[in-house]
Amino acid sequence: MNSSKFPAGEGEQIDDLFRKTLGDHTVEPSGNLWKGVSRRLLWKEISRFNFTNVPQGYWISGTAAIIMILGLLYFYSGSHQSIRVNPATEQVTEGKSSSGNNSAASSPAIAEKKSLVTPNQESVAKVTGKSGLPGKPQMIASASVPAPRPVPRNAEAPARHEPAASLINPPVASERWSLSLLDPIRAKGLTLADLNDTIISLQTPQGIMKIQKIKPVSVQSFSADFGVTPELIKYNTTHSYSEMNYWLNARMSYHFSKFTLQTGIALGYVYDEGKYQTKYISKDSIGYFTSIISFYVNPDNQNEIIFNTKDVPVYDSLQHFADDRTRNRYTYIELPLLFGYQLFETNKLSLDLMAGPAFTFLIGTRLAEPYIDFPNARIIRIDDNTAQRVKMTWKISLSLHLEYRVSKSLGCYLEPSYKYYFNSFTDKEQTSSAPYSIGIGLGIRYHFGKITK
Amino acid sequence: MIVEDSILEGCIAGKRSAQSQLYKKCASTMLGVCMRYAGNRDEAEDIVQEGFIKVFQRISSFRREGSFEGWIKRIMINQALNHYRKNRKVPFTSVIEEIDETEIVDLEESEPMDVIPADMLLGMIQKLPEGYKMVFNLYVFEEFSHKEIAESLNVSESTSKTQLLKARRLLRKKIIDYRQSKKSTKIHE
Repeated sequence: MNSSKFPAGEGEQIDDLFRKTLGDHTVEPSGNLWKGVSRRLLWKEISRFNFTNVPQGYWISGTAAIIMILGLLYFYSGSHQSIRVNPATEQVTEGKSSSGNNSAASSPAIAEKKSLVTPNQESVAKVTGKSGLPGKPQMIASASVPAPRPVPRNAEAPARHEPAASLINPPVASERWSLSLLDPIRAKGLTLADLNDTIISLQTPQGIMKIQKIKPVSVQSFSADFGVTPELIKYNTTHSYSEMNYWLNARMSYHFSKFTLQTGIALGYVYDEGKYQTKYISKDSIGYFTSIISFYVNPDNQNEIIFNTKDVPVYDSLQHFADDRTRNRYTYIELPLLFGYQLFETNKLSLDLMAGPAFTFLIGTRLAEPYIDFPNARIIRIDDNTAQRVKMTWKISLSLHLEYRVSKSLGCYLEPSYKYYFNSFTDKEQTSSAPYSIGIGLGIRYHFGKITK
Repeated sequence: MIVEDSILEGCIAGKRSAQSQLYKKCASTMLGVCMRYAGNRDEAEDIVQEGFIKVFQRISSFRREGSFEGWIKRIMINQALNHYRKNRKVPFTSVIEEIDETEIVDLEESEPMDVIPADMLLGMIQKLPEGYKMVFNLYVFEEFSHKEIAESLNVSESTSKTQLLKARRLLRKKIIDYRQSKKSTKIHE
């Protein structure tokens, strides 16, 4: 701990006391101070994220995680296929039918189907490969069964179940008809009487039952979604750097079959660096001179004079140039037109690939003023080298829309996206310096009622 | 305070280990500086934290023409002044408080002082009104002229002179109070 005796008799004694005691005074910082500095630095690094600096391990881990998630989603979606009889018949069954030897699981479906077929009666059954989702291939089974003929007493009773007949032209059949649909029929021991592109004929104990493939039912629907997309944009100007942008999205989607057409509006805050060069004058130390305060004759040696000296710093006004970078904010309106294709869908999850152009219009600019650090500096001139933003840009957007259905009409989504800008943001940049961005959208989607045609 | 070139190069490259080393070398000195400008330790640490962020962001602009200590100290002082400007709630001139001249005892007539601990003197500065504190620090420790102080704090030169005078008087009173309290303690002992 520094300390000092109070110097008496001088006009500036207070100043001297404090200067001598506290001039080199040190205080040990608390442990939290470095944590705070370190945390702030990390946050700054994240906000100025540069893709070229990402360690290879992070890329590999991220890619592996995405592949695993997609694999799990695919597995999840593939293990819930079912056969469903048209609800119009008031007979609904479900069972697994994913492999060839699952007769136990599929037999109830067949049992129900058989019960539909009664003598002198026509019935219709829809069989779908999945859980009644719109746009899936469907079949209508129609049976025209004559009334049972009287059986002679001495006649041998016909076999109730003949051994499963081999399929007619099995390789062709497997191409035209999903084996998952044919397997239950075979497993139940029904005889396949005929098979062509559109009709399966089955020999049942009650007669011939025909199953007809029909065109997929076209289902259309609308949805609206709202969300926010933080994105990292990469600029390739005189130096490469990244900035964090934020978009608020409101979109309408039209879904038909597996396709989606989407448009809407987005409000975005886009950031970049302002560049200034400031010329200023500040008073800086340029050296020192030695001033003689007093002198006296050396009592031991009368020929020697002893000088008391003091080093006095010399200041002068010096001219400096400082390059200053500021953070500017621009407000944009974006109008996207995206086309989508559904990659898969389950009861709860769906994944769509979306792509299309988007047009952005500059509607607001907020430029930050340059800042000079030194309080005693006098600013002579400020040169603004910030490039002017153009009014309109366009880009191509590619995204994956992963949605989780919370309820029948409400879902929440996660949407990683990549955008490539075809023209430059500013008038000073070349086309080759056009930036790209990577973002992750989060939001909710409301599904309106379906329109079936 | 000697900072090796390797540390500076590491900081310019953004290496966290180099930043940590630089921090360890400079933090206690810089906190000592900022304690004079702040009202308490927490406030001083806030200033130091902001100051170090700026140091690491702008370290590439350090031209190595002068001492690094002078450069980093200048950033810290500037940060302290920014902090003061940002948090100044009342006009600068209104913080001047009247001191009863009869209370002032001429130190020249007083007996030589005992040792005054640095922490005690630091506390005296910290308790000064904001305006006094800024002017006193800039004048005494940074050796600013009144003209420079006036430009830095956006006040007139006469205001700067008045503030310094009032600060000195207030500090003198605090020193004498301290001395008297210590004297009476000794008598009781």
